[in-house]
Amino acid sequence: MPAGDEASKAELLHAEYERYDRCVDIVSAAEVWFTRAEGMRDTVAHFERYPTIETDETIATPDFTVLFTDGTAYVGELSNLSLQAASLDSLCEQIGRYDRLDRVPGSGGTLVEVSAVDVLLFVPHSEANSAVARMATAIADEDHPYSPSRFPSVFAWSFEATKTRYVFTLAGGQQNHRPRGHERDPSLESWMSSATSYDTLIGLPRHFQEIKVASRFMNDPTPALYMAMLLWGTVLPSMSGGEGDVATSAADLAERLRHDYGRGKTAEVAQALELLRVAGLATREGDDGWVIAHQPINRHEDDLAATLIDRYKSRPSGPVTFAAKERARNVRRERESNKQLQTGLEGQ
Amino acid sequence: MRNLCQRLAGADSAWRQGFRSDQALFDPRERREDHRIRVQGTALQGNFGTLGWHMRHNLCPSATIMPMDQLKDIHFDDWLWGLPQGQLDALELPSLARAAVEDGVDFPQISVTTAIAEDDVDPLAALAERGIGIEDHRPSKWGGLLRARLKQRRYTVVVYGVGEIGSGVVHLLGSVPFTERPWERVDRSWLPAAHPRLAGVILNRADFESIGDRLGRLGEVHVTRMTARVLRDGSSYSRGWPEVQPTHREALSEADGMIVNTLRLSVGASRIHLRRSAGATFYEGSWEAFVEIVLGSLADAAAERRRMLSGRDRDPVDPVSETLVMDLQPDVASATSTRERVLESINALRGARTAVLHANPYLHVVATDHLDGSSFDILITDDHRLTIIPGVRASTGSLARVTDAVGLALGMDELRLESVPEEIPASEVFAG
Repeated sequence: MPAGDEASKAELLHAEYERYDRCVDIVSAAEVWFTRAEGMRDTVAHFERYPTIETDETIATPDFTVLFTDGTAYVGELSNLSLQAASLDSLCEQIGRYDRLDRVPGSGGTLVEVSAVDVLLFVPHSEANSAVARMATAIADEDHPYSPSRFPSVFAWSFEATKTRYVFTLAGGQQNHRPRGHERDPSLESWMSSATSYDTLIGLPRHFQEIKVASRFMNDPTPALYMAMLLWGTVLPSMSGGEGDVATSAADLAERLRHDYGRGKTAEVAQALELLRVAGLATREGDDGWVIAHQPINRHEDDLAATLIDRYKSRPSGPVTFAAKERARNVRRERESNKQLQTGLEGQ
Repeated sequence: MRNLCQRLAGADSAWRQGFRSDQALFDPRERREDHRIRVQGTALQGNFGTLGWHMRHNLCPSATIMPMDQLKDIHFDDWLWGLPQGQLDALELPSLARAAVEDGVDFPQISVTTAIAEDDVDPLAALAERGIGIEDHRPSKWGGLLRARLKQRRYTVVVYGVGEIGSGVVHLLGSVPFTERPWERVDRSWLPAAHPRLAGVILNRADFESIGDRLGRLGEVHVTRMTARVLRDGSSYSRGWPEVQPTHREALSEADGMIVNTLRLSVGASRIHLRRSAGATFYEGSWEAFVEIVLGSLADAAAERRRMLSGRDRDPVDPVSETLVMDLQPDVASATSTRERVLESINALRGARTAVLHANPYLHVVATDHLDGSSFDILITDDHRLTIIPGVRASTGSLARVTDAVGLALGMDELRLESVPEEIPASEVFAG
């Protein structure tokens, strides 16, 4: 791979890592609204962070669902809409399916029939108004397949650094509207129409930090760097006891992630292991096996993600695992010993 | 008159050694009062009076009058190391001074560092295994002795388990002044080498106040010197009171906005030095009272900290219900340097590494301890607090060393366990 491609791949890895972490924050902020906020939590029957809704027609994997005690539901989706038409088409196709859902996950993982669904779309602030306008245009276009029963509620999100909080504001545009409350009290509708809200809600890290730490993921595919950081920083140390060769498989690690954080996909773990392999920290063994040489990395930036990217770019060579390094050391010692013996014999 | 040259156990040697080895701590000008217990020469008559006063007030229950010509020419450390096993096993900390004096050994000043240990860890073995300069060790019923060497100097360190061995709190004691290299080695090399099986303890202001209050039983407590760090700018603060000395609470009230590092106290005939890193020095006075009050308080603080940090592994089945919290000064929490201070303090620990998920002002760091596989999430949010959420694997010793490192870097006054509220006020989701 040319050097320029390497650099841009590394940048992309880090950009994905950061974007994914922000999305985990936002889902966690929503989880706080619906599961911990005074009053609201009493109206919620179930919040599902990793929903999979399989019907005869389709499989939907929104970023969260909320089942209310009155039998209605919200379906939440986070989107980073690009300017390309294909990006809009893809989003419309996705949330169009959500609009047609008639059931969402309840407690215990069972799907529960619902009487009404509102789609909540969270878009970065700079793209939110554009998203509303472009979706409105798509709906008005008779040739465009997107034709929802109700326009989604589009929230513009941003991070307000001075106040250390995420801000969610109902995006502009005539078509956009608050999600329905169905006379629940409170509801997002009542919150947003209150005198102190001005259609704006916030997500405080101090409120969602415990939720984020226990869940770690959102329902979109996990970027390889994020997964590698998580494996290296929390999962592998608990397996290696700190450092040492860890012999495992992507499936086993995914199972452990599901146990520890509620979500783990073998394919995503495999991608992260491949990143560690390129970074000279893991090696394949057999068809499904991996040996990961888990250790504190000596030439370490303060940020593990930056360290992994550096190693990914430099593609270190040489033995990877502790066992292989030990073998190499033994071979080297034996060679030196033979050399000294030979020199001694020649001296005689 | 020569034969009447006598001494009070645990007093005179500290007086003499104080000048030799601890000049920074002992200003001879502040020692005038000590003449009361320097029982020698022409001052004999007056000094007997003072000694009698101390004994009447039970301030020196271990006081033993030992004629100078009966003192053996053996150093305390060598005496201790050479004790027969039976005598060593029978030794109890409060009677250490009496035992030494009864054997004709000069009882010196004693440095102490208190630490916590993981469950079922033998502190003596943990230290002996990796401590640089440790030549030998002798187990005993209560812990044991370490014999170490630095250049030509040999010294003995007592490893005294509080309660049963393996109960998790241990005092390290020795005659080496804490400012000298052999003791620096104990604090800065031996303990870190035994991480995370052993870990240090940090005292907070409430601990200082509590120790001072308890010492009040012996008489009025006065502070002769206090050192601190100013949180605002990290500058150091040092103040001595050679004339009118404040009580410990008066002195501590001057330290608002600071982290108190050391306090030098005098109470009755006792001279004591307290250190934030759960350490103390006994210079003179009643050894038994020092053991009961000062070491008792250090052990209580260590046991409390150990309780707070033990069994914190996150259970994946249940939501996080408790977190460890340290309050930060607002300007520290929002300072751009805070991120670097947190990261540098953790990465400076042997085997510890960090990953950054979110940078300031909302800081989210994953810290990994490669010594035993522990991991923690560390967050600074909008409320000027640093929160530590232990991972699925999180050992007591690892938590202790990470919280200590971050606490020292950011000027932690107190670490506490806090319940996560089940419910938050609805008003806190409005932008306001």
